[in-house]
Amino acid sequence: MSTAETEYLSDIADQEYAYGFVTDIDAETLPPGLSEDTVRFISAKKNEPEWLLEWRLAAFRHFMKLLEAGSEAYPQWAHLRYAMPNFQDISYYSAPKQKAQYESLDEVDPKLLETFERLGIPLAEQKRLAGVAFDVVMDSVSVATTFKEELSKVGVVFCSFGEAVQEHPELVRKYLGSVIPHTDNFYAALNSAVFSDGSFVYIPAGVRCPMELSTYFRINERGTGQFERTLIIAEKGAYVSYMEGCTAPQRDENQLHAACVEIYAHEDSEVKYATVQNWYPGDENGVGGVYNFVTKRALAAGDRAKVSWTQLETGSAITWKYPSVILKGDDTVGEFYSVAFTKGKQQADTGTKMIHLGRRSSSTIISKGISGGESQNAYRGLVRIGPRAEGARNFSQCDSLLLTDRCGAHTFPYIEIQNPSGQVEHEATTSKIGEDQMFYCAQRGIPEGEAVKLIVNGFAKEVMAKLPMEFAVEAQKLLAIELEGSVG
Amino acid sequence: MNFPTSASEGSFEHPEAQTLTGGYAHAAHAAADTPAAVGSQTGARLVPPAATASAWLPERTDAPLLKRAAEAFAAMDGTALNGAFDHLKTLRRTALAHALRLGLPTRRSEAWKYTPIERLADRAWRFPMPADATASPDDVAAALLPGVCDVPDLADVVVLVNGRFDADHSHIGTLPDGAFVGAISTAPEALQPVIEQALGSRTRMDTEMFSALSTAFMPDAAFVYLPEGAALTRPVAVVHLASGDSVIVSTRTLIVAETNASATVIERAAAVDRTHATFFLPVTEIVVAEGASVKHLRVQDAGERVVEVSNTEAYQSGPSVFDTLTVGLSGATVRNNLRIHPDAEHCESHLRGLFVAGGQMHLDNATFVDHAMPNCDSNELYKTLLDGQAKGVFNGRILVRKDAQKTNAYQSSRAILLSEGAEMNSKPELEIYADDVKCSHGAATGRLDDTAMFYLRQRGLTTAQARALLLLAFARDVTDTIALEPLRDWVDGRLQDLLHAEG
Repeated sequence: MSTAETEYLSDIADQEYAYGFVTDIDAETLPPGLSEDTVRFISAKKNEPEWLLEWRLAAFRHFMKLLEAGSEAYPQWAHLRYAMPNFQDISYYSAPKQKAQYESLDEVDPKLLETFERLGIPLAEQKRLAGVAFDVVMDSVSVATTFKEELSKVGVVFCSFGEAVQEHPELVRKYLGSVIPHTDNFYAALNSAVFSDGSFVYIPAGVRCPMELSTYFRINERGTGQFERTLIIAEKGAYVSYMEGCTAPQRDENQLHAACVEIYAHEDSEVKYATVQNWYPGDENGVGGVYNFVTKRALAAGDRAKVSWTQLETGSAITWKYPSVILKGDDTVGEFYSVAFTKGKQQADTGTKMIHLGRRSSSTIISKGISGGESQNAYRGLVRIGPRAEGARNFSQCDSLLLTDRCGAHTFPYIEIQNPSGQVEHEATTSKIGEDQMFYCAQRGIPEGEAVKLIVNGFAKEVMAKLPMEFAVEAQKLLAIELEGSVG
Repeated sequence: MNFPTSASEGSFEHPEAQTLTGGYAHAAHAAADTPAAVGSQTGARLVPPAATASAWLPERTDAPLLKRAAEAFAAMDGTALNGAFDHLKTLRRTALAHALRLGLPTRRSEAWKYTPIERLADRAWRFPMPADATASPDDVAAALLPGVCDVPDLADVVVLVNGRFDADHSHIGTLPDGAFVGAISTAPEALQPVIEQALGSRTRMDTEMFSALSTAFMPDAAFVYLPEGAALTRPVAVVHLASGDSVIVSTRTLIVAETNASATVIERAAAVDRTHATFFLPVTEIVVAEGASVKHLRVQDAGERVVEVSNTEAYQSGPSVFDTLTVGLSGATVRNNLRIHPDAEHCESHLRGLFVAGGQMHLDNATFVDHAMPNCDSNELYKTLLDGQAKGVFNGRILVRKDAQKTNAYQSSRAILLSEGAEMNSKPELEIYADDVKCSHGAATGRLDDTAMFYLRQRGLTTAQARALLLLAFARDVTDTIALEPLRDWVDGRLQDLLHAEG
């Protein structure tokens, strides 16, 4: 590798987070600490019905049991190295005071608008973008929802989780925890106890959601954890494409983010879920940065249901995330497309789980890991073909690209086959940018910096192409910024 | 549906923990594996907070097996304790301490996630007494590898019964000057320093309970020594026999190939009486020096009453070639731990496996290639056929450490499921800390190709014939690499039997 190239790559690795700032909005914040009272406070604050409080309390008791069991119960299998968070040091509730639903942007707190301005995703522009409605979750409570009317015409419910609890309690009660029970894992238990808000989507039978649904998640208040809970229900024959994107302000201490996303897909329905994650990854010494411990799971419950997860992961100090699909119905389809880019001291352990239960269910996994700086980037995935999953198929491809000689790229696939008719193929490769590729570019007058961008984009293209159009532009920009560094 | 809970498997090796001084140091691994190393990055609280290793490792130190081991060890008299060598006493004591500390792995341990050894190990196994080793010559002859061990001058044969050298059944021909084939108890005085240095130095007693347990109880060890430039013209067949019912047999093989030496060593374990239950704990340590070439074969076909946990450790101290092939054809539960450490530039390592499992057999292969040096190649090909209710496990791990640039590591696991009820679990792992490498792995599990079956049926073959033909072809990639013709024929013959029988 030439000196210029080495310098360029180290510049990339050293690039500081461009989106670090704190928006000062008056928030109602609970002092740090976790107890039954915390759970009761959150529930009361949100005016929740008794059954939901009980549900939270059951999760809380389970979580406390896990905490007491100590290290035994703490998930340690991931290829990650970090200090276990102190759950009593975290504030579990933070809500912006102005929580009215705005009809127009003029009413929105200008500082909030400014935040989005600085993110390069101005709310105003987003609103102008035809066909995109979005629900801004800022510090756990929804403050802006658009295009609600248009959606309600076709019967689509797209609102904050809190609103859904008030307006559609029967739906929430039926589906909450049906895909991710509160006992599922350590962080799912925590989330179930203290989740503050999130998004709720309901697509009635036979309805094709007329627009892409989008939510921008933000972590804002100092020292507050973010515990989103998202629930998406697609009835028979429904279709929805959902986008989630995130960035976070710079801060000194580690922030815990433990979200849960549940998707319930009925017969013949299709759900596409896309994520761009760009939370604060910590400074050049690995100090600060977001701990991103997310449980995302879809249940393809009915026959021929189809669920796809697409993700671009560029942020967070620690990423621990396995968007999964349980292929319960016959002829169901699960897809996972992922680009995980790590640099600096970032650590990512991410992948998917495809649980084949239904006959002829099929799944595709395409995972591209790009490691730079001194980061550690691991793919961890499970493909299970159950004994009754006659004729199930899976194809997995996990490629890793190493940009420096100080980073790590790892692949930990678990493949469990209990039916002889299952066809499962897994392939993984690890390589760096080839000297021949660089030479080819140089020969054609492409400077090294551009060449690296070109090659990395080509490496990730297969996945990036799966992102919805509105997102793809932003995602490509993000990847380019991540790569660019101070060298143009 | 959770991933397994364990960070204790050595699957957590960040570069900063890899301080390899003076060759391949066990301590470096241990340090990386301890919980104290976790969380050190931020210097804050540990994961888990204020816990000791024993408090959270998913192993059982109170298992009956270990209790019996401690009692049997205490009951050994001075001679038994010393075994073939005086210095063995220290090694054994250390090993026992490791075994008792490590505890019996359970399915909560990542490395044993798919293999329930706990239940099997808790059976009423006993450590053999000298009185058990009373096999009649006929029994022994029948348990040897037919076609290989019984043909005069084809191979040098070393027989150990319950881990003890059996001079009557062993036969060793003329060897190159300075070479030795036999047991450590009969090795010449001049080789003592070699034995003392090599025995127990490679196997990871501090992390592998079964390796430690085997070391604590090995009475003797098969020993193949090749001085500089020595090339064995005949293969060495090491036959480990078990005598007595429900015995735990701790067998040991030590192979040391000095500069430019070469040898082929075949290992086989069998019970003298195939109706007897046996728990084999073979440990094989192989040291390959610069320019040397060692071919190692392990044949596992000991019948339906045999539980086996093998630990094979190859250490390549100089640029050299190491080649290992495991053929597994029967057994109740078989677990093979195979580790290769190419610890010099320009090493070449080959790992191959061929397995046919039927009935209730449980087969688990855990391989690990540890690339710590630049410019090395490793190549792994495992093929598994599963029938009946058999369960197969393949856990192949390739680690490329920070300085191991220009590594070429290739791994492939192919499995065919022949029946409802058969199961295959694969976990091919790549863990890479160097950027200028070419590493890939592939794992595929499926059934026989329908179109290929149709093609053969169309040409008049019966379903059973067509099936056997395709399966033999599937196995051929691996069987073709067996250079020793009588052994290849024997394996082919056994395959034919098994595949027709199961068709």
